[in-house]
Amino acid sequence: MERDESARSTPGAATFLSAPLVDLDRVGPGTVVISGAPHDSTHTSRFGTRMGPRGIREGSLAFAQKLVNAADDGLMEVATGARLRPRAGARLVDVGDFNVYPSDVMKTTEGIAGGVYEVVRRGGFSVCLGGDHYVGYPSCLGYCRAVRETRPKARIGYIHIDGHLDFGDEVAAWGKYNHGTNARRISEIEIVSPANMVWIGIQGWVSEEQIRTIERNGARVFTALDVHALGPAEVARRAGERASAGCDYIYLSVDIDFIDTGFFPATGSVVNDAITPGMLLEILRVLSRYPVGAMDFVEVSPRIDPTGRSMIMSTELLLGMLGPKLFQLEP
Amino acid sequence: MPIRKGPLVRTAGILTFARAPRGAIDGLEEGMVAVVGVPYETSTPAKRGPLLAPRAYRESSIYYQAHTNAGGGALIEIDSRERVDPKVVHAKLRDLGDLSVSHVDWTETERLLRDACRRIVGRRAVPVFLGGDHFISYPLVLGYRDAVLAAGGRGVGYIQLSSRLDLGDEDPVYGRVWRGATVRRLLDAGAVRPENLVWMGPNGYVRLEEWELARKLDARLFTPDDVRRRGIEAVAAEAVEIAGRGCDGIYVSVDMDVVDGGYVAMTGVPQLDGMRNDEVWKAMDVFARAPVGVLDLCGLNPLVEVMSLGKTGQRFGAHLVLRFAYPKIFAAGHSQ
Repeated sequence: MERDESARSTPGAATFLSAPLVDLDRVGPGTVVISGAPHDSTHTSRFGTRMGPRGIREGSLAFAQKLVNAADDGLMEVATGARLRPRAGARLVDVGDFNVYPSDVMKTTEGIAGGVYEVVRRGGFSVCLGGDHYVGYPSCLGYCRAVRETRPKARIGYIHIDGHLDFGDEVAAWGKYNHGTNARRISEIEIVSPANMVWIGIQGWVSEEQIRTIERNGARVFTALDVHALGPAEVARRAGERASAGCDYIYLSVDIDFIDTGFFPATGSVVNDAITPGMLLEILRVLSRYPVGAMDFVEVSPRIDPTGRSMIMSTELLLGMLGPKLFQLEP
Repeated sequence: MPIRKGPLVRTAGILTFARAPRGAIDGLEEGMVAVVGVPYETSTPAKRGPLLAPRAYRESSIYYQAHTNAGGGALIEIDSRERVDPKVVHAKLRDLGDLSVSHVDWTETERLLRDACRRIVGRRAVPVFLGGDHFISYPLVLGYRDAVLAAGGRGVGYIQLSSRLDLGDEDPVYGRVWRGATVRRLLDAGAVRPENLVWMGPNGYVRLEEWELARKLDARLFTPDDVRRRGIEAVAAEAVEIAGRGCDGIYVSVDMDVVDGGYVAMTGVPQLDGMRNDEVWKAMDVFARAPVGVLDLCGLNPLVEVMSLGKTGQRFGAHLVLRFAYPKIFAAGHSQ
């Protein structure tokens, strides 16, 4: 039966932007591939991000409706006056959620890493929706495994957008594998270059051991105050240059608690840094010009935001990175 | 004997501020910072809830438990690069619990708050009071002044960060004891001289009577527009200079509604044109290094946000307390 496209913001399977729901073996080169990792048992305070992938997908339907309605004329980007048209040959699919095992973190690691690996080795651009930020580690691990298979000598840079470093070696009572250690574990992946790791948005107090190790590695931290002082675009440009210098690709990890909780309430960790969603959008637009090979988008906890606005905003934020892959701007 | 060893997960354990040790006034020593809850809200007309704020601050402060973990590694403030040694914080930060306020007998509550502040400052410790509605500042300032005068000092200045002037006189329902009259009562009592009174953050509309009184007193007032135009560091430094002139201590009171309602929704009257949250914590950095001897946080209402889910104000408050506390804790000396 044919679907009535004009009505697809409510009925049917809620896939990201109403993209086709496909099996992994249908992923081809150049495809933008949305996946979910509904995992939050490694979150250290307020659980709930296991509902993140579903929440973001449902939130995306508002924008999907806009795309459907604009199919004939395209959309206008108000800031530039440019017309947004679907890019020829662009393809967006949703592969659903990877296997996660709430009581077995290593099995979860392999479930997510294995799924991302399958996406990347088929040439897909992997976008893994968390879940808590631990998801970033297995997602990056799967990406690196796939890259190394085709390019054994490749080096990967890393950009971590977050209110927090997540660079603990161990977190008290939670051990080595959780949403406070994900960046540390990523720094230990063989083809990731620790000197090409960049953090954007750190605020408040951090562990002395973590910041000293990061600096010893030659990596770079831009604080939330740096974003205010330099502007989001300049910070993103510097981060992109730093992460890609001498590297073949960048892995991008976006924790939405980079944004001030006043603007984006749906997250476990409350952050007060006056960073707006618009600032993150600007950063992602700039980073889309760099060789980002895969990404995750994590820590969206829908039940903490009964208004639902955080989940709707998530789509437009993701389009900061995905937009140029899916659309072309015509003056 | 503790029922368990090793680190606690954030969701476990009895709540003290940032898991600081419990303490009592008699155990305080010079250089300590003492967090005290004041769960009082009788003069909150619109939305009940500030009563629950001390507990809410403590709940969110657990995020900072590593700061008091004497066996853990040091912290670094990411912008200033100032080091926080948790052994020192563990030794110097205390949670005294909540004051046992009466909601039916203001005279008793006033005596209790005034006495608590006087005794803590008298031990040369720095109290941080977690309100509660804004009227708690009145007896607390009196207690601070008592301690300063008893030590031979010349009196205290007062800096209020709030969207309002709180210069009201008599309310038809609440009489003279209510949060909109906090500063008026301080002036009536002679607790603060007008020339040492500074407001930061009043915005929107204020009652003409209050506005004219403020002008008559020639007291200094900085609006959010002034902060945007001049920068928060300059405004905070001038506030300290004015409040401290001819005094031997400054009291800082923060009504959470000084922050724009977009950043902190958890107040009775979320503001449309308030200060940015990072401006308020930068102001706190200035106050913490000035002769500010007492801080209170008032006006947080955990019930305003749906099911208290956003928690935008309570983590912010915990953050402010630590920004205020550390220069006191890590400095060689401190002001009374």
